[in-house]
Amino acid sequence: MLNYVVRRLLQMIPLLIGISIINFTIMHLAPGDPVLLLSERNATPEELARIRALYGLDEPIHVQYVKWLGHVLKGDFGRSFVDGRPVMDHILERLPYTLYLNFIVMIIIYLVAIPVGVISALRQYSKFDHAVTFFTFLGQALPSFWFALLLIYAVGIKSNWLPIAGVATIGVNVKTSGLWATILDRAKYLILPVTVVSLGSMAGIARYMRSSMLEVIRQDYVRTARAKGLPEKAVIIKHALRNALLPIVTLLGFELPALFSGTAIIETIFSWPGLGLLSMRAIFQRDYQIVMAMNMIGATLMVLGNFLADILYVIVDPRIKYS
Amino acid sequence: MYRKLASLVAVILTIAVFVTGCGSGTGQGKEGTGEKPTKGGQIVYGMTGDPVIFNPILATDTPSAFINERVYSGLVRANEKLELIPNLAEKWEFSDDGLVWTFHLKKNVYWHDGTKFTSADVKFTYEAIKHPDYTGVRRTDFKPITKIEAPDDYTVKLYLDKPYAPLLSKLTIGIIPKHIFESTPIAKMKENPANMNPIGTGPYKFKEWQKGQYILLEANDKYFEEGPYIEKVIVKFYQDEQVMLAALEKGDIDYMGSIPADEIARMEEKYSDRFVFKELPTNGYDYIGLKQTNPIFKDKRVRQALMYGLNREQIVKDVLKGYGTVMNANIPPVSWAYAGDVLNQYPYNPEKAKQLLEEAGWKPGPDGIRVKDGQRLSFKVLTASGNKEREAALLIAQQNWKEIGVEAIPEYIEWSVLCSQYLDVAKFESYLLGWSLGLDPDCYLFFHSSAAVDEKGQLVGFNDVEFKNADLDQLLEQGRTEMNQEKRKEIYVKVQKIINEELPYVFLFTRNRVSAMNKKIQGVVWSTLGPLFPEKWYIKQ
Repeated sequence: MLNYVVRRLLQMIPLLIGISIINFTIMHLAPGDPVLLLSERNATPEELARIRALYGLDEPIHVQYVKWLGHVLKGDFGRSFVDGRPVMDHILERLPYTLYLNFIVMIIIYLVAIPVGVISALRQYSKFDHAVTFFTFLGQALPSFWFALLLIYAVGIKSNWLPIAGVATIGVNVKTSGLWATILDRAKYLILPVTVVSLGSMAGIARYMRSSMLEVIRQDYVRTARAKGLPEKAVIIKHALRNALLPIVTLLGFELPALFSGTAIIETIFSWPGLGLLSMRAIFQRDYQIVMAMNMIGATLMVLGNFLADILYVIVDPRIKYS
Repeated sequence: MYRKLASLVAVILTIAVFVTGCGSGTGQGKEGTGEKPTKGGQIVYGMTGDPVIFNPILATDTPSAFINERVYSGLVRANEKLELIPNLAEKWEFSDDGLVWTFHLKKNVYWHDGTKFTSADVKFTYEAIKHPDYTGVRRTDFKPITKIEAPDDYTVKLYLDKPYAPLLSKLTIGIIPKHIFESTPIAKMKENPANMNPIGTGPYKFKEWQKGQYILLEANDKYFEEGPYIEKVIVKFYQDEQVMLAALEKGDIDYMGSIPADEIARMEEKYSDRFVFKELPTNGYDYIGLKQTNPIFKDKRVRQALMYGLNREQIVKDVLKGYGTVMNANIPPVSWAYAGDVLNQYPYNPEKAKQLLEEAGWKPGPDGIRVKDGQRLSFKVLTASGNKEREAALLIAQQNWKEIGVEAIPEYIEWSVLCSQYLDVAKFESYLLGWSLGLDPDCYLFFHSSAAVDEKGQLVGFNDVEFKNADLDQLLEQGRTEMNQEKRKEIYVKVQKIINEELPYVFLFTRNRVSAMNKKIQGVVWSTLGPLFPEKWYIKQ
């Protein structure tokens, strides 16, 4: 097992380098030149060349790549072309908000979607199942920006205490208002975004859980468990659920990068200062350093998430062994 | 390739600078109320987007300009008539040949950190812009300056290589503190932490920035002019117009600069007791640019027929919901140089359009589209995809022109592709877009023949339609060197007459926007372009 873990970790290095080369190349091939976006309307070719040299963009692309890689290995992602601040500052000031929102969303999704999926599988074609099917399809079909605006107009404007955008009331913090008032204030700002984000994803996971559970409860070993005279609770939880969770665990692996990636649409509507808007803006402004940093963090997490899912398999399913 | 985009950003910035211009002087807002302004209270603005950098010589975006205009001051600023009035400079004079400009600075000005403001700061700021390592977009504005001198602490002399009147409007740019930026090389100016925590001379001090959420400014008690009265300025950032509108309805914000056109009627009906709604003309216009070298458009009568044959009143009514004005030349009504009624108004007249086309030799063909020498009167009109107003205007043009036997084929192209493959290389038959303009009526870069395509095929200025007219060239040159505003107005009226007659563009309209301001805010000077002089506003008791 240890052997396997070490081998997998080592394999990640060439994989990530490969990803970074592809990312770097595609980014530079894409139309749009940061120097032209930054410099003025009537800049002469000489002035443009000078600015290009200041930003180190005059060198051949492979030289730029090697330099970039050297800095990254030292933990330095460079500075934004647009405002000159370190890329890591940009990411770190937005990361907490993205993590905070996504973490709460994820807990809610799994806490609700797994039991709902299980129950609707156990009572297939019951009223509950039909209702769940209806709402999950609705949840996936509703465009999130539309649903979000609907909530803002239907709930936000009418209620006096539910804020429609932002993360906190200006001036409310632990120092001035006390711990509980602060927690309550932050929670109020979470209600609308969490509702919108979780509804969409919850639908998918509940459907997954339902079909996975349906498959498992028809298996021979479940029938055997019942035949042994085990109580129904034990059959479902110990024998069926554990096996049915297996595909969900794979999804969890993919959720890791999702946890760090912002959702640009939700951030746009609820003015949530997360990473989604940062990467979107960086792409439009051809802010290469930020784009590369975001891509590489995303790629690393994706690779790690897959790896984690593989390891989790072993824990959930003792039949799987790596050597 | 992106020059057009960059230029748009730059001109939009000029406007933003104006719209939000903070100020001294006129005290008009208080007249008639009989009230004495009191200190205290707060105003909450809503803005879309996020500011980038609080350094007026590096910033290019509207949210940054909005903050910079409250934190920094320039030598001059614009008033509600778009005239330039004193700000950091008390007065100024031009030498007789227009080559030496002397500015006398106010003596009671301090930076927010307590340091005294002097002419050295002005010299430092302008020299930074002229430095070869400067990475912002203002270099061209300051190119006519050859030397900056600070003979004493309160005098600045600018030496020009030739008289250049539009320069004064560029001196609205905020002055940055030498004592904070001099230790950073110009090439690395962007990395100075003061860009994120600015020290200025303006009416408001920068207090706090929660990224992506809000900015808090506080009154500068040592401001060198009257005010500021409102103690706290909060700017909340939204990323979506509809959500910002909802925030306005809910009462989260006191001001929204531009309410979406199809919401205006509902808002005015519902909230007229809470907000003042002001309809303000904007400093820009939409047009269809006609490639002057194209065989179809070479004949002036065809260009004029396109104007007569287009119901532009209907476009304003249907597309802009009435919030706009038809344009007949290139200077909008907000400018002091606007020519107005002396221009041909080109009222909608399909018969006259048909007659002009007949005179030009275009006869109706078998499919209703006119033909001349075997060529159909048909051309493509490009526009950027995703702008609903422009798409709708283009559809009306297509229908109207079809009735006079002209076929316009709309093509919607993604913005960056439109710029890089068509406009910046000046290759197209015609296109529909808009210009946002600066404070000065100078339009040399749009219509002078030297701003067209050079011998290498490169577009020099923005004259992508390649309009060339010797009389106009001469007037545009005069307009730049004449220093007297009355005489300049005469020149620019002549410019508009030529453009109105020759029609490098089919001129469409200028938009009006509707702003909402909470009624508790008093003393607001509403100019044609926005609420001015925020330091003189106060809260109704």
